[in-house]
Amino acid sequence: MSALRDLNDSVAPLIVRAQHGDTAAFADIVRACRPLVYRWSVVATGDPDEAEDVTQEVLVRLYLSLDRYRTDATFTTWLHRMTRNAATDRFRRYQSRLRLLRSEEALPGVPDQNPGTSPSAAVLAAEASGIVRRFLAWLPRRQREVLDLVDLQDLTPAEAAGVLGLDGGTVRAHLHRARRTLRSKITERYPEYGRGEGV
Amino acid sequence: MTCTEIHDQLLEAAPSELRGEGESAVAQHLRSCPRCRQLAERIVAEESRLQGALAVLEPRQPVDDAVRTAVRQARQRRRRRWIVASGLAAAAVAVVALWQGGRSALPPAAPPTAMAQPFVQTSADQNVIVYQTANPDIVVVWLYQRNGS
Repeated sequence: MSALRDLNDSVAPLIVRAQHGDTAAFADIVRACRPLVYRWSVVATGDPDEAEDVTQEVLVRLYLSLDRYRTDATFTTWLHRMTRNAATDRFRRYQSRLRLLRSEEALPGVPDQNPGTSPSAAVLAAEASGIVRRFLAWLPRRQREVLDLVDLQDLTPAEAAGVLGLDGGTVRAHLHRARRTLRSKITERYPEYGRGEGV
Repeated sequence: MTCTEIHDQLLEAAPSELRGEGESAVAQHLRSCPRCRQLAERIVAEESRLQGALAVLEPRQPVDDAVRTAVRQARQRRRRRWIVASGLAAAAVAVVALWQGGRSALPPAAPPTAMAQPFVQTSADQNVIVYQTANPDIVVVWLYQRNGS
């Protein structure tokens, strides 16, 4: 949770400046938050390409609504809700669930390269993209979010509950279901471990 | 506890237990059973691949471009909202004025001969429609984006 807390602390003075129209401060907020927003978007959509559009939409919404943000709410919680809403709107609009299911069997796409992106970085990104798509397609959205926060980003279930606006029991239930589904898929690849020896 | 029972518990165990840390039944079993430990290590390795992939991925658009695009899109969206709101407000005023005019017992207003032509300035991406009503004091100006946006 310390990473999120650090982020909240570091953007707090920038938010005040951005709320008074300082575009440079807004840019600094974006620099600090965009990796996190993108990761949340990837987890929410299950698709790194769609996540780019969701992330950009979040930045637009952030610019439009930052003056309504009040510091009594945790910024990252507020931002996560905004990301989730943007992903939901996109989900509804393009029925991305269908594409997500199809992508499970599709080969990972090679992303467009920026002029400054080396071929090896592009290959690495394409491989990572394929891994993310395959793993996340196994899980419903809420389970993906909980698994990412707790098991992959080391938040406690209570901290994840705070970010997601859920109670701790619900988070634990989603977490157990997510682990069971994901690991069942993983262990299917290793049938040699399928029978216990009764140790 | 048998390996079969442990295999089931591996599906929900915390990552630290899968690494054999702590004193839970799962962790203790993994420390003493190479076969189950291997399976747990496979699970940890696969989950680490996902973790690594999520850490590697980043948006392709450079962040400064993303900021500029977001600010531009936000300002366009705000202007569009303002135009729609002002158009609706103007339309509402016109409706009320026409309704009031119809109900009025006053004689009809003089023709708008002395009225100056309305002057409306728009940006390059806007169209404008000007409605002159029967009431010379009321002109409805409707600004809207080109291309139906």
